[in-house]
Amino acid sequence: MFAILLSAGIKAQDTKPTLINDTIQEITVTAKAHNATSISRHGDKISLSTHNLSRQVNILGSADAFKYIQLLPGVKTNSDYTTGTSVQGCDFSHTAIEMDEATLFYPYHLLGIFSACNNDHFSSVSLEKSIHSADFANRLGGKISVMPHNVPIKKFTGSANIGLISSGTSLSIPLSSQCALILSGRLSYLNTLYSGLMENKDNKINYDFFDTNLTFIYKKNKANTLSINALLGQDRLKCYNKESFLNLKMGWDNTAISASWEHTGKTYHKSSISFSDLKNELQLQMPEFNIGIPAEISHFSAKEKITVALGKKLSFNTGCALEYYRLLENNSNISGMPDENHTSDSHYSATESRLHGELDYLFHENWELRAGIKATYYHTSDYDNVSADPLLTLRFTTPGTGAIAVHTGIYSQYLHQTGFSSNGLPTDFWFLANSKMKKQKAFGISASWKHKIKPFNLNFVIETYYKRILDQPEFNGSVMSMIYNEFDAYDNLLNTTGFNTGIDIMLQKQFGKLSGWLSYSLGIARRKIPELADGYVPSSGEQLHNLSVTVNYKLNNIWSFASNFVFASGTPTTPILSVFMLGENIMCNYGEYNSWHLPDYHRLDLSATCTLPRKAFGKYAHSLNLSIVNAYANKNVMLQYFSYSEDDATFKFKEVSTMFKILPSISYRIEF
Amino acid sequence: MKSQIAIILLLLLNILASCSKEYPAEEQKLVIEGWIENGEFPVVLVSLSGNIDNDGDEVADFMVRWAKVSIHFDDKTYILTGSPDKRYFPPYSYISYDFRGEAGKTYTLEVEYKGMKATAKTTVPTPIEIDSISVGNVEDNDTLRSINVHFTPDRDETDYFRIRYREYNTESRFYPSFLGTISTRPSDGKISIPLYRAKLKTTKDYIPYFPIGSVVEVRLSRINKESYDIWCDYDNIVNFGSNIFFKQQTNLYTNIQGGYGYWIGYGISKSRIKTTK
Repeated sequence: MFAILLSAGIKAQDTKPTLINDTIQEITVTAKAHNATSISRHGDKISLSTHNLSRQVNILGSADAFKYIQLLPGVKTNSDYTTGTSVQGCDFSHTAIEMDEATLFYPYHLLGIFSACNNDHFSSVSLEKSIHSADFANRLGGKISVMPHNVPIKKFTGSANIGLISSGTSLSIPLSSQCALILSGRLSYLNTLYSGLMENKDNKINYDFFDTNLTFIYKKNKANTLSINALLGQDRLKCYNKESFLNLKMGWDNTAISASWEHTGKTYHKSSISFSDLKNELQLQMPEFNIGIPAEISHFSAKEKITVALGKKLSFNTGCALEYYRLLENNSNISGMPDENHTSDSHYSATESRLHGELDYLFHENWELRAGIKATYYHTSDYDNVSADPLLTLRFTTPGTGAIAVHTGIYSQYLHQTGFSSNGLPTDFWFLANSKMKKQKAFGISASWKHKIKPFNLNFVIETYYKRILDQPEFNGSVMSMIYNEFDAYDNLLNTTGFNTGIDIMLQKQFGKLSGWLSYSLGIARRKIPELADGYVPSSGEQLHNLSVTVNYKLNNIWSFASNFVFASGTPTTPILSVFMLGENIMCNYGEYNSWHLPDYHRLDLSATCTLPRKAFGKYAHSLNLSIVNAYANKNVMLQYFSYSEDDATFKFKEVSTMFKILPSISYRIEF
Repeated sequence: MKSQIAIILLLLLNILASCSKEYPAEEQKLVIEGWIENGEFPVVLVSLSGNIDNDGDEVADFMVRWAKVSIHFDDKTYILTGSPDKRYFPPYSYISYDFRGEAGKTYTLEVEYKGMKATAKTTVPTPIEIDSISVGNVEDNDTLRSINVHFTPDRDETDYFRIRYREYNTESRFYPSFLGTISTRPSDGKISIPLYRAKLKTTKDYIPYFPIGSVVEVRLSRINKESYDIWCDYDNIVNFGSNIFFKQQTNLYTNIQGGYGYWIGYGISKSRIKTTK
């Protein structure tokens, strides 16, 4: 078995190593790096180590890998009010987010300010954009893998992070030479410490969240490892308006558990089972009425992956997956109004059975061909579908300097998500393909080139892609339609087609005192929505230009500095053509759907970290991080609308800008 | 495939040109807010729309004082007279005192102003009586009272209503109750609906309940499906139009040809109540 696991300060590994019949055992090449990213051999996967993140820019005292993922090329830069990861113009729901083998549906806290994946618990987070293997889940876009530790720990270690709004701790406990347990937890104290700040004359806001993680590793021998991972997270928001007596409650719970057994040897073999659940509810309450919009998605999966070497140059990857979904359909639950209804048990379910096979052929010293097919049988009560999606990847390795990869494939997605806005809220509803809204499909072609610029020790990656997307649902309803009518989401769904295309460029300096990366993306994402506009219109995921620069500078063993700069084209929006007064309210008349863009988004984040060396405090290492997000207080516009000014009886054009004009934070960290 | 490559090339050119793209604008249109109720004189408010350049312009500048407003029914045409009217905002209305609305009749509105013409048609539905109005306490509050309106729909099909109210001696026009647009099903039986005060952009603080001692006049208005759709849209825009999470960038449904707004027939029944301790 020959599995080269190249890593730089992290132990990143390909999910499915290439098998060649040689006698060399596993080699792990490690090197110290201050930069948190590493790019795979062919440039098709970028991994982000969580190890050094605490020395990067923190938001409200926490560093978050998902925020750093947004600084990579091809990933949309989100505004403060937006949650989700849009890869190469795709919808948020097209991105598969997995913790080990368990799917995460909304792994975020504070409406996306940071993720529910505690950095202290996980070893790395990786991103695959458009080049996938046949075992990729049925999604149209990218894949984010949150990787837990998978090797036993030899000694008891731990860390604690104390931030402005939350604190967390992580303990790594060796149970024996073969077993280890990693426990992590994070708890916010917004209500306890800031209740005064969160209450004013008009509003009283309550917000709290927590997450806990567990990883159990049992390495029976060099070839067999059993690991169990669990995540439990919860967010609770209450906003009470004293004037209107309106109480808005929003809450969501994340649960994910996976157990997997991995075998390495002449054959690679991974068996796993997992369970994920996302439960959320939006409630609007006034003394006389209560409107609740509950929703839930549960997912159970069993997967098997096998890689067999068929000779020195040929290997065969195969596997199967059985996935079961159970959903509580978004439905209004109203009491106290004439349209009163009480949602009965409107759960429904679907099964997805997948079988994949893939040949990996090293047909020349530097040329490798990977050809595979993924067959799926999908079944729900009123819709059955069979798909056979082929994938083909050709890779050429330029000795010593890099590699080129060309990929084409067809992708299917049976799980849809849409909502009232393009912001990616927890209340956006998931639903399964059925006779009313069939599966989504995509045909993609992409090419990437990774090149090492030796004189400067830089990595250069360029990727270009084109993806044709069919049958993507777009919601055209409103919140009030759920309140007034017997709501049926399908009556408000529009079927869209379109394409995404663009170029992603990344220049990375991985080693040295000064490290970091520069990424630029040119992305076009267009959709045809006949009900809303003629011809192609920009999709909400389009970000024409996206430039980000991430710089880390390690001055010495005590001081390190980090900075991120982001520039992104404004989000597509529907322009206001005119305004008028009706019933003493301002009405806006909008133009063509998404035919205008909000002002460009740009932001500079700075941080300084002081780390006191272990030798000064025995076995403890202390560090203090000071960060400023949006350092020059740029007013990034999120929404434009017209309003009425009572003072001078005039029309006023208004802009809702970023939640934080400037956001300083401080956090203290101890490691042992 | 060739056409898609051409589209991509065109889009790339478009990107280069997009820097100088001008904000789209629209010509002014007539905005009509008109209603006719059984037993009442028709009222029409006329104004103009403004474009984004009108940031900071006074709302009164968009008021139309010299429009020709006429209503046609039963082969007769009536011209409405415009005059200042402080009951409404902007404070100018067109009213005819020559006839009152009748249930079952269809009325065609025509408005002309500076070469612009807007027309609309509506029917006044048969009203339904209010069974009763009740007053209740508001939790943790000694100075406010809640009001509920009770009625019984009498049709074997889905029916549509809008509740409007006026605080006697303090308000001169009838406002739509917040969440006061409803549809009822034949199986619903007796309906009880909370009457919340209207949410208006022209008032700073919104309080849904009524102070003790208020005399509240209630109009239960039966409307048709088209009017119901207009009001549902309206409520949605008023409540969520500037909400970052649930932003509603959709246009208000209108039954006005050549303009914006509405011309609605109401089949009304009236009642009055005083909120007491």
